[in-house]
Amino acid sequence: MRRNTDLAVTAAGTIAAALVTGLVPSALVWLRVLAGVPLVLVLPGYALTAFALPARSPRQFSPVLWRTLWTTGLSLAVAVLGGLVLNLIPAGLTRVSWAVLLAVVTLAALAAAIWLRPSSAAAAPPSSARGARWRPSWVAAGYGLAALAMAGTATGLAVVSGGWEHSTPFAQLWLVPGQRTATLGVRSAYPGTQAFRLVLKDGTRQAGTWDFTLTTGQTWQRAVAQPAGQRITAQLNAIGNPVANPADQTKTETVAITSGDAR
Amino acid sequence: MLCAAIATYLIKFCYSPAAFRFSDELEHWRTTVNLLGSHHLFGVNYLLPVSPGYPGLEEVTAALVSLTGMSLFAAGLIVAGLAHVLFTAALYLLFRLVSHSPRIALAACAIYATNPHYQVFDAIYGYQTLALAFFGLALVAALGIAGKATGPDRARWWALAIALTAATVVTHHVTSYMLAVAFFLLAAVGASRKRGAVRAATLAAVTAGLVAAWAGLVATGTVSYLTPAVHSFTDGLAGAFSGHTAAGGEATPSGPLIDQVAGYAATILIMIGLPFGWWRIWRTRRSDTWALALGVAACAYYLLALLRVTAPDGSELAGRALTFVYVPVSYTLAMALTGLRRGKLPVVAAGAVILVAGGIASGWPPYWERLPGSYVVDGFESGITPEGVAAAAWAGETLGPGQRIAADYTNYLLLGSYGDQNPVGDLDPLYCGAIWNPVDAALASQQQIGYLFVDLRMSEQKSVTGGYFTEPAPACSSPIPRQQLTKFDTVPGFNRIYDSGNIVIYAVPGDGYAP
Repeated sequence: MRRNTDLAVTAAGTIAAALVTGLVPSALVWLRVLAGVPLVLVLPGYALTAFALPARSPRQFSPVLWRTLWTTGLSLAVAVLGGLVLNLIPAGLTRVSWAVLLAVVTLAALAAAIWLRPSSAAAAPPSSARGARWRPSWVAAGYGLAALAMAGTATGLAVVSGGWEHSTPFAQLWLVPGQRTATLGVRSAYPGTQAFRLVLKDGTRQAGTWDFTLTTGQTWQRAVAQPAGQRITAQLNAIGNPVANPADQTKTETVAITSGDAR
Repeated sequence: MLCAAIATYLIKFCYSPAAFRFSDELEHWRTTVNLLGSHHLFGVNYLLPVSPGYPGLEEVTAALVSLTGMSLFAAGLIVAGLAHVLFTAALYLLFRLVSHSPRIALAACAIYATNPHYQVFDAIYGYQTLALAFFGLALVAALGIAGKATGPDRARWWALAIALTAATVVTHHVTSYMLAVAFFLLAAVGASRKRGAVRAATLAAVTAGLVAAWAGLVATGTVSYLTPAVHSFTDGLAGAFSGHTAAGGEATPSGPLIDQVAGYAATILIMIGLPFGWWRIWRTRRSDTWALALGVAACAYYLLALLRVTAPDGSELAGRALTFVYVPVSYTLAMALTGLRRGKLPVVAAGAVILVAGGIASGWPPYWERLPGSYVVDGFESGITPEGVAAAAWAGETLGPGQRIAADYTNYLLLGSYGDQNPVGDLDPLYCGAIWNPVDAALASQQQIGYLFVDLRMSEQKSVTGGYFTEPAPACSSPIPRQQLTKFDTVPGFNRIYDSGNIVIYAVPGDGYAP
C-alpha cells in the first residue's frame, strides 16, 4: 500500500484539479492556473509512466529526470491524441470536456498502474543510489548563480523594455458608412495626453469641428449625419508641441466616404 | 544541456516578450483562435491552410487556455518552451543511450545547438516545435524496442513508440516523414547487419501507414502544400548533379559578406569533420546499428550543402532540413571529437566559435532583424509595428471577422491573426499600377475583396525580402511609387474609411467597380 502513495496523491490531485478547472469561475484565474497547468502538462503523463514506462532509467541517468521527461512528453501526447477524441463529440473541445477527458485518462492509467504494479519489475521505486549523484562544486555553483543572475536580468530588461518600443506616434481616424448615419471615430496612440482637432465636411461645407484631448488608447466616437448622395470628409490634426515633436504639427489623417456606398 | 535549452528559449522570448511576432507564430495563433472559438478542429486558416490539418500544438494550447483562463500568448509560450526543452532532453538521452557516454552525448547536444534553427525557429510557437519533442521521444522509445527489454517491457516500449509516433503525425507533416525515414534507415542498416531489422521495419511501416492515413483522410491539403518545396528540393539536387543551377532565383545565401563567410566556414568545417567521425564510429562502434545508422544519415549533410548552392531557395530548404540532418551530424561530429588528442582544446574552441557563428549567420532571424529594433517594411518580424497591429485590431472590431481584405505581406499576417480576417496577400496587381482599371476590378471581384489595406510605407523603403506580398510580384517597383498607392482616393465608389498616417483602408464597391 505504501508503494502506491504517489498514485493516491496523483488521483486526489487529478480530481481536485478537474473540479477546480471545471467549476471555479473565470475570475479566479490564479486558482485555475494552479490546477489546470498540472492537469494538462503533468498528471496524465505521471499516471501513464506509472504503468507504461518500461524498466528502469538508463545507468547513471537521474531517475527523476527520466520520469520527468516521460511525464511531460506523455502528458503532451495525451492532449494531442485526446483532442481528436473530443472533436468527435458535439460539444467539442471545451473547458468541461477537457477536464473530464484528462481526469478520466489519468484515473484510468492510475488504476492500471495499481493493478499492474505488484507484478512489475518497473514498479520498483527509483533508487537514489542508481542515479548519478550531482554534487556541484562551489565554483560550479558560483557559475550557476552568475548565469542565473545574467539570464534573469536580461529577461527582466527585455520584458520591461518591450513596453518602451519606439514607434512613431499615431492616431486612428475612421469614418464608416451606415444606413443613414456614419460612424466617426478617433483613437489615440500618442504617448500621454494629446490634443486633436477634427473637422467634418459635407461636400465643401464645414459640417462640424471638434477639439478634444485623448490619452493613450482612449477613443472618441460619434454618429454623424450622412446626407444622401453627398461625400463627407473628416480631417484629423494632432495639435502637438512643436518643441517636443515638430512632426506632430503637420500630421493629418483624412477619411472620406460617399453616401450610398455603405458596405 | 537543459540549462542551454532554457537559455536559448529565453533568448527567443526576449526577442518579443509581449506578443507573438514571428510570422509562423501568428499563423498558428489564428488556428488556435479558430479552435477556441468553434471548439472543433480542422477549421479554415487562410494564413496557413495546412495548419488546421496538423492541430497538435493548437490542441495542447487550447487545453491550457480553456482550463486555466490564461492568455493564448502565455499558454503558447509555455507549450513551445516545454517542447523545446523536452526535445533537447530527448536528444541528450538518445545520444547518451547510443554512445554510452555522457561526454559524447553532451558534445553532440552542444553541436546540435549550433544548428541554424535550433535557437529560434525550432522554439517558436509553431507546429514543428512540439512535433520535434515527440520525434525525439519516439526515437528513444524505438531505441528501447531495439534494446534488451523483453516481455511486458518490450510491449511497453512498443506502446510508447506508437503513441508518440501518432502524436508526431498529428502535429507536423515533415517531422513525421523524417521519423518514418529514420525508421526505414534503421531497418536498412539493421538488414545489412542481419540485426533488429524486423522491429525497425515494422515501426517504419506503422509510421508510414499513419502518415498516409492522416494525409489521405484528414490533412488532405498536405500534398499540394508540400509539392512546390519538394519540386524545388529535387530540382536543386538534379541541378547539382547535372552541373546546372536551377533557374528562377538566387543560388547563393544572401546577406552581408561576413554572414556568408561564417555560413560557409561552418559548412566546410562540418564537411571536413564528418569523415573523422565516420572513422571513429567504424573503429569503435561498428557493431551498433544505431551508431552506424547515425553515421550513414550524416551523409545527407553533403546533399544539403549542394542544395544550398544550387536551388533557387536552397538556403531556406537546406536550413529547414538541417533541423533533422543535424541529429546524425552532431553525433558523428561528437564521435570525431573523441579522436582528438589531449591538448587540442584551442582547436575545439575555434571550431565551436565557427559553428556558433555559422549557425547564427544562417539561421533566423535574418541579418536585418537579428536584434529587434528598426522598422523594415514587409521585413518579417521587423515589419510589425503598433500601427499595423492597431489597424488589424480595428478591422476586427469594426468590420467584423472573416472579411476578405487585400493586403501586403505583413498586414496580411496581422489581419489574419490580430484582425480575425480572411486576408488575401498576393493581389499585387491591384497595388502596382498607375490607374485602377477593369482588370483590377475583375480581379478584386473574383477574389471577393471587400476592403483594400494600403500601407504607404511601401513607397518609402525598398523591400529587403525581395517583395511586398506573399508571392513574388515582378510587376511591382521597389519601392512602389506613392501615386500607385494613393490612386484609390480618386476611384469613384471607393470609400477611404480608415487612416492612421501610414495605413489607409478603403472599402471596395461590391460590384468590382471599374471606371
